[in-house]
Amino acid sequence: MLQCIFLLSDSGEVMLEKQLTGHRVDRSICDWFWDHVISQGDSFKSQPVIASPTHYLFQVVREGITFLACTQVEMTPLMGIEFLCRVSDVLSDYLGGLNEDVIKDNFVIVYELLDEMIDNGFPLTTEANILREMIAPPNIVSKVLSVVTGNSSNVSDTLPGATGSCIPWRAAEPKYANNEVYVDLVEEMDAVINRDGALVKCEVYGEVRVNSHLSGLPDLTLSFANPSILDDVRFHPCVRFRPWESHQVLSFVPPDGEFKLMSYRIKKLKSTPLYVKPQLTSDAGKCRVNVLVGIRNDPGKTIDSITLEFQLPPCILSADLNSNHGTVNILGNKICSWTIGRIPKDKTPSLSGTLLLETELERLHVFPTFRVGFRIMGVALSGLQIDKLDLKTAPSRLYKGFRALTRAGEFEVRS
Amino acid sequence: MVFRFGTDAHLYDDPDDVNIAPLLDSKYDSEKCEALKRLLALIAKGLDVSNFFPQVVKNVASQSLELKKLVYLYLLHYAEKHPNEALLSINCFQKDLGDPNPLVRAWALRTMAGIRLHVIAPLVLVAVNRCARDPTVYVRKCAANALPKLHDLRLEEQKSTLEEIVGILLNDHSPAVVGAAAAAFASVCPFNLSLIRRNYRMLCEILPDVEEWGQIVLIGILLRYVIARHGLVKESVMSSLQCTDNFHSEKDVSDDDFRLAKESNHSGACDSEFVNMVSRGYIEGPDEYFSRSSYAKRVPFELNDAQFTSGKSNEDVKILLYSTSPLLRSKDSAVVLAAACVHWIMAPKEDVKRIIKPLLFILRSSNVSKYVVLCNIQVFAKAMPSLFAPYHEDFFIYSSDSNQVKALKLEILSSIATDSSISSISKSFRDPDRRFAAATVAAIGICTRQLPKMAHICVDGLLTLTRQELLTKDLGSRYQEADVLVQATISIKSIIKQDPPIHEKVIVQLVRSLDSIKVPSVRAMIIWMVGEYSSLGEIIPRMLTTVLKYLAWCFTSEALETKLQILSTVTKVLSGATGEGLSTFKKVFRYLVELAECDSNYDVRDLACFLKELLSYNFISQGSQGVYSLSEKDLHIVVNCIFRKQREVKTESINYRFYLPGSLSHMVLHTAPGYEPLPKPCSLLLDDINEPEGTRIIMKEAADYSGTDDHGTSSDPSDNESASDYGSQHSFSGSRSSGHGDDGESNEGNDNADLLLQISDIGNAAENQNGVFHSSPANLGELMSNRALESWLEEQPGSSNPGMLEQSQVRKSLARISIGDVGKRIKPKSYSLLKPANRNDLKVDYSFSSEISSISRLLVCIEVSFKNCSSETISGIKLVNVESNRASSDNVPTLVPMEEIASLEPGQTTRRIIQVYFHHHLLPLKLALFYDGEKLLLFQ
Repeated sequence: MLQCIFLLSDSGEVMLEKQLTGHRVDRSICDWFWDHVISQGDSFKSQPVIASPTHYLFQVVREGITFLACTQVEMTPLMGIEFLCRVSDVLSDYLGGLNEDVIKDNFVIVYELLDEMIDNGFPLTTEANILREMIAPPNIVSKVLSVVTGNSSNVSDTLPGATGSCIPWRAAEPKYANNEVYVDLVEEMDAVINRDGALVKCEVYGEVRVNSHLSGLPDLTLSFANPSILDDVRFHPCVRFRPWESHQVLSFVPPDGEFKLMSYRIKKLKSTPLYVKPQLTSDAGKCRVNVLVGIRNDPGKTIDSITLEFQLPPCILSADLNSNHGTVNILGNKICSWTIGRIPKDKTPSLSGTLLLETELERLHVFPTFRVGFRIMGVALSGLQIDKLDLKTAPSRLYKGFRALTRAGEFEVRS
Repeated sequence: MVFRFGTDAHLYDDPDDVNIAPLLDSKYDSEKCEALKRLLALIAKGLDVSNFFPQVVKNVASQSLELKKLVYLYLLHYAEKHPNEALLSINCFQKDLGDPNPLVRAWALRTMAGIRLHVIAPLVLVAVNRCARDPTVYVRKCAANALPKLHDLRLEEQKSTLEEIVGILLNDHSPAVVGAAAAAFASVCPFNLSLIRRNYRMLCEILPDVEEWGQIVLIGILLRYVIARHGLVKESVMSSLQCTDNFHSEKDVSDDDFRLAKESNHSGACDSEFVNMVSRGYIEGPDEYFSRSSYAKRVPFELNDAQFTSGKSNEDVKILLYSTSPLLRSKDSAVVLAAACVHWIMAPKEDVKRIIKPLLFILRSSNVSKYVVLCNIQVFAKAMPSLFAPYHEDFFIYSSDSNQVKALKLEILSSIATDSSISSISKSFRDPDRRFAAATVAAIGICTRQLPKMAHICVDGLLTLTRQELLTKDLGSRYQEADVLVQATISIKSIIKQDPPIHEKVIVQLVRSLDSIKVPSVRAMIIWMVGEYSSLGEIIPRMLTTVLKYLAWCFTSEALETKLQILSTVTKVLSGATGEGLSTFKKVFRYLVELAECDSNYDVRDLACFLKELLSYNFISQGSQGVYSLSEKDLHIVVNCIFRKQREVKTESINYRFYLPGSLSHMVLHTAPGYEPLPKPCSLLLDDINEPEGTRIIMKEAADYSGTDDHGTSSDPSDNESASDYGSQHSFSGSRSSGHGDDGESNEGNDNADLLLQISDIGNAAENQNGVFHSSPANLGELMSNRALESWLEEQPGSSNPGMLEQSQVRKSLARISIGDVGKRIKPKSYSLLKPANRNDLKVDYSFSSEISSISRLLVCIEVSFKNCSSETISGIKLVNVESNRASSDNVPTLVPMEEIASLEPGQTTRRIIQVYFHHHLLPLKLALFYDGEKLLLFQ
């Protein structure tokens, strides 16, 4: 049972407090928290569960805003954390992003939302669709109206019908002139490549995102051409379990608008679209760096937004790094980032240069790990293919669209 | 500025730039709204604006929903401070409860229950009762949420009504209501598992449709029910090991067999001792844990066959597993973990692997829950390494992981490493972060200990590492290279310990590099190895003379640690030496002792004197053999005893407690208040469950009451009967299931469990229930320390003072560290520090107040009340911290000095707030009480 929720800005200011139960939590706990953030730095901020002298704290940090929840009694920590994530999702959806100003400017809405989302420390209504009907999100029209008339209420007078339905994620029957449904496959490739170029691990984490604008109560079925390659899946609550268990078919009544239908994982892939060949040699107080990047397996579409990042070792005095393509930047925290963009046809992009070590140091014996980023539009690298999308009672005009996108996830090259 | 146009920005920036009071009294809703928004902004900023309360309350009658909402927000924030004014709003709520708009009804109920005043509790109860039968799902859901609020007020006499409403709501056909009802059940009557029994099937079936938050709670409840009803599953991981253990003890296996069994455990099954510990940890309560760890003779954990059931034939177990298995694919990581917990405890061993992939999937798909999930996987992986061994790739460390995540992954990797995966795992151990490298090296050491075959490779790797580190010796302190070197040496040392003869060359290499190693602790360790393995193999004995000379030569420039180690090493070598080297050793020894006797550090001087005395008769003054001289053999034994103690392999005993997976206590590794272990297997007896048919019918009647009946059940005599009968029965089953109902008092209670109990008896029964917990212990002193811990954690109001019953209106399930300022009607839970009976006439009670210290917010305020029960005046009362004058008060709670009470008249009571800085939850505060010139030791 959560007792209190605080919203902290990135400078540690308490922007909002919402007491949830009769056992009030003094906001001095935030000072305690922030003192520790300052003294222990980021490692404290990445700790989701903290035991303070008086309370247990759960924290979620999103775009500089810290969501802090307190409790004094046993509860499922993941529930607290997931709830804070949900709050931050809903807020960022309502306010079009999260930052200090936007929260302060709309503090009334934040309060109203929090009040609706949690009651006595237990989540009450967390479905975005229902919340939208209860508390209208701020938009240009309401803003103008409030300036012109000086009066506009964003609190709905009636209870959304979905609160009682057994499909709470779907708002009361909407009407659309054009019935559309878009399905996106968004994949992230995780890979670990050893310094000898061997692929230690390569897998894809993917999501099926659906954007549906369908009238009435549509019942959709989505099937894949090759569901057997899926290693593991997680579903939106709207997906019925049994059809998946028996036929690997996704049968669902979608929420209105955009949502994540399922996420999946495909393991043990055989190759990566890019190769990265780092060569580092170190002696006489120097370290020579040479990195080559090129296409290993052409996915059929252009690979763009290629980047390469690595952390320079702490014992480096200066770095002189140049590339024959793209730009090289060394950021403040000794992170070297090389922006390549697309691979040119006529040459292989390479980064080369020397790192000067501190004077007492003879040579470097631990080399950095390179993180690679890229994006490929129009291809799902895992090879997962959507077979068909059916609507049970198809309206007269239905537009269906499919897209795919792959980008790099935790793509690391050891050296 | 443009994007802030039209928002409430100006209200947040300057909330009080206009006079708020007149706005509140305005006749326009919009102006009132603005005033309330300004107040809300001030609340958000942490200012106290409760002085507007009377004006705000007036607006509760407004028709505008936005205004209502804002008023409610304000009201809930301050109602406890202004109970009298808050009462003014009650009429409006009563009216709103009859509103045709369900939203208005729901809000009114939520706010009314949220005000938390004892005076209106009966009214709220009636309202909740009515709303629990509301046609709108949302209102019923709010009614379920209102139950814990009422329960917080601790209305003993209403408890049965609350439980009855929980029962009705659990029976609801809407999944949304059932989820909220499950949460209410968990806080109102978590031990009343017979409520679950009636709906068990239905709850299991509805589980996948319940909202995610409700699912989390409901899964836990169902698991507890099944264990209390049917016991553990015979084929599960948790219990299978009990059988193997018996098997071992029966056959009295020889050592070799045992090692074989252990090895096979590693490859195939699981670490039996560990699993045993884990499963015991899940079930036993804190008191049992303390008693087990504090008494020398450990009470073996025994479960007889009757407490097991078969997962294959028991329908209830099957249906639970069946209905939770789709939840392993939920998008909410908390649900996945909760479902995994059920399978971990209940599923037959061969099905447990089903939870692995979902758990690993959470690791990738939700970043925030990664740490929590890893903490839980850590225990699973240690208990059954074979489960996770094929998935070691998922624990590979990324440079973007946070330090805590890296550390956890390392620990998991080192426990699941197998012969086939070790090579790829050790490659992933390389990390440029030096802080982390030290931990990595330690992990390699652990891996090797488990996989003796790989020792050679690892030692080679570690040796190269030490050599590499040597190159950076001067930078050691700056980049924590020293840590790495120390860890590497520790790992090498532990590997060598397993099988010294085959690693002889490693020792030689280390000794050779002694000259270039500057880190004192590493030098000390290498020198220790010289002494330890001085007689090992061929090469080392030949080197000894040179090494000892070298050590003697550099003795003066060494650090303390190294000096001590040199002295003991030389002694060890000397005691084991024979033949040609002996005279050299003696010379070196004498030289060293002389040097050491003049050392600036007294530890070194002491050791030198001791060694001199010990060995003088044998080696130094050989000419005159005294009476006290020891024979050579005896000396050997003495030296061995003193210096070779380290050789004894300490079996790692797992001392810490295990908590249920997914619980908060598991994360913070101490018992959080309110933590409940699993119920005792089969503690839910059928007698308790077999309720009379009549209750059921009446329940149905109650459910059929139309919402218009304002009086609800409390005014209906027949309902009263059923309710009370119901409540008292449950209190017994509750006390029984928590394992305390084995003495006479509960029997007495059973006699009371007449079918026709009146409400007045419920208090009695409840008291009986409390009485069970308050069984007065025979040896109070022994329990004192336990009690101190418990009272801090408040797991049990297990006070030994029966006189406290009237004061504390608390019950077992309600656990709090501090009690908020709830008003005058409710007393915070207080503990007696000193009872008047103890040969003095001063009574001292204390309670944790929720006040914030004016000195520092780290201090915890404790309200202490002193009462003079004697007929004479007591003077000069003072509380002093016993340990405050100790120099190393790092971990000891410190007390801000208390103002002395000059004198206390007979019958007079005085209160003082003492402020204590607790460094840790678990440490008791030792206090001394001075009065009338006497000193009394007390422990809190």
